[in-house]
Amino acid sequence: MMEIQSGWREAFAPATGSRIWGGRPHGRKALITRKGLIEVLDKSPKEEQTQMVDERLARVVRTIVEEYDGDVKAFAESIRHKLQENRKTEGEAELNDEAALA
Amino acid sequence: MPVHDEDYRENFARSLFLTGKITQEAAYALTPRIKELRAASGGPITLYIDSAGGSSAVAEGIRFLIKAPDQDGRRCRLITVAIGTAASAAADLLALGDYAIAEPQADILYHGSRQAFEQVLTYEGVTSVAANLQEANERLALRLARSSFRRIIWRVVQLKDAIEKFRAGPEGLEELVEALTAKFTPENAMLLREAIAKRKSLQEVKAAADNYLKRRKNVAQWPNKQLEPELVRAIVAYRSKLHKEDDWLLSRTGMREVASDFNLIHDYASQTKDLDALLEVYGSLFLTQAQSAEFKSKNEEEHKIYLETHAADKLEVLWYFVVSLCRLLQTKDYQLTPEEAYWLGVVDEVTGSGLQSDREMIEMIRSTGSVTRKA
Repeated sequence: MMEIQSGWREAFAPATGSRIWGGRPHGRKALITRKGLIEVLDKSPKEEQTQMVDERLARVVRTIVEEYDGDVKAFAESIRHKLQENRKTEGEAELNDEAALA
Repeated sequence: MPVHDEDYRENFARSLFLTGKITQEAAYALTPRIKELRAASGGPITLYIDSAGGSSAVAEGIRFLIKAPDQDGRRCRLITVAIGTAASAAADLLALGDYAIAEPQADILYHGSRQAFEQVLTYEGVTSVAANLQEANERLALRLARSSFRRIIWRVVQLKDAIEKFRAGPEGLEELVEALTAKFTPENAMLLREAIAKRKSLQEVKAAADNYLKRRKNVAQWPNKQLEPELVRAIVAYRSKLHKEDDWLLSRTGMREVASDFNLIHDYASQTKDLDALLEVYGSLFLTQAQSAEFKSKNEEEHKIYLETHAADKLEVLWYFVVSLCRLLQTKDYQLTPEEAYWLGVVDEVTGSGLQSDREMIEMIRSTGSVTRKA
């Protein structure tokens, strides 16, 4: 069951009563102004207005393009292969350490 | 030894739990811990999420509080982790993490902005609330698109045969998206197909507006005050032509359609800078093998121009698709498995899934200096 976002009531219409529901304070209708979430979104940190480019990912892209001709799958397989090798080496090193201590 | 990059890993020692409904009270309860973590260091803060949603404004407030600069201008990176339900405002918050992780048992649910009422509304009130909800949906969709786009680039480049066709030209997008649908349940696959159709109409309205404005002189020099009314005229002309067989009037639903198109094109224009930056980094992933060889033979200065000529159109249609997808996510209920959230670009990683992640790629490159091709 999806929960109703009751918080939106406050987010969009923080004022209550006549102002929201079309009542007539001082004898005339008042418009609902842009409130709440939209204003919050307007305040998004400036740097979020533009995509932040992570130099680490840019380096990954360069590696894939330069060394793998843009083949992401080959790159990923290579990563996994390397990870497995690293784990194997670590495991062997641990066994050797234990053997030396025994 | 494998290197762990803390920017891409959850860290329980510097974490917060957002559980239950997202309310102002929940935010008040988290605030001291957020301030404590920020004061301790500028390292990433992990936010564990198990929430059915609540106030999007409050969720955004929590995010701002975590990411706000301190007195030295330091900002903490936000790592979000879905550990149970991440629905509605909580799903948005999850996706907006600088690095977003879903655990295998997580449930991710999206739906549009909602507002509950206890009193009778007037026509004026309903109209105003509807306009606000629509605007909120559009903005949330664009924000989601911005955070998902980079992730979706990494997803589609994994679709081996389809990506080759897309690299050959932007018309390969439909096949690329069709290959992506294989990762989804039939119900959610429909979302992607619908997004492709919406993408077409979005691109058409943009092209119609471009054509209309091309006939005006020195448009590039026009101030917004002059440009915006002209853009509205262009959209009205396009919509009138599109509905020439229908009983279409501005006074009925027409004005709403025009306003929606206007907001979209207006917001789209503000994304151009983003696309430029992304093109520079990711553009080379969208080159054919022959183009890639040519690209490599060029110097750094020529790279930018080469990517603008050979990759920008592909990145642009993909961006249209992602925006359309995110707009649809704001319309009705969509329940996503963690894997589906991964393929949709909502999260970066699903723990234990074996799906390729940014973390895995970055840590491996850091561990080895670079990863060279296997013999």
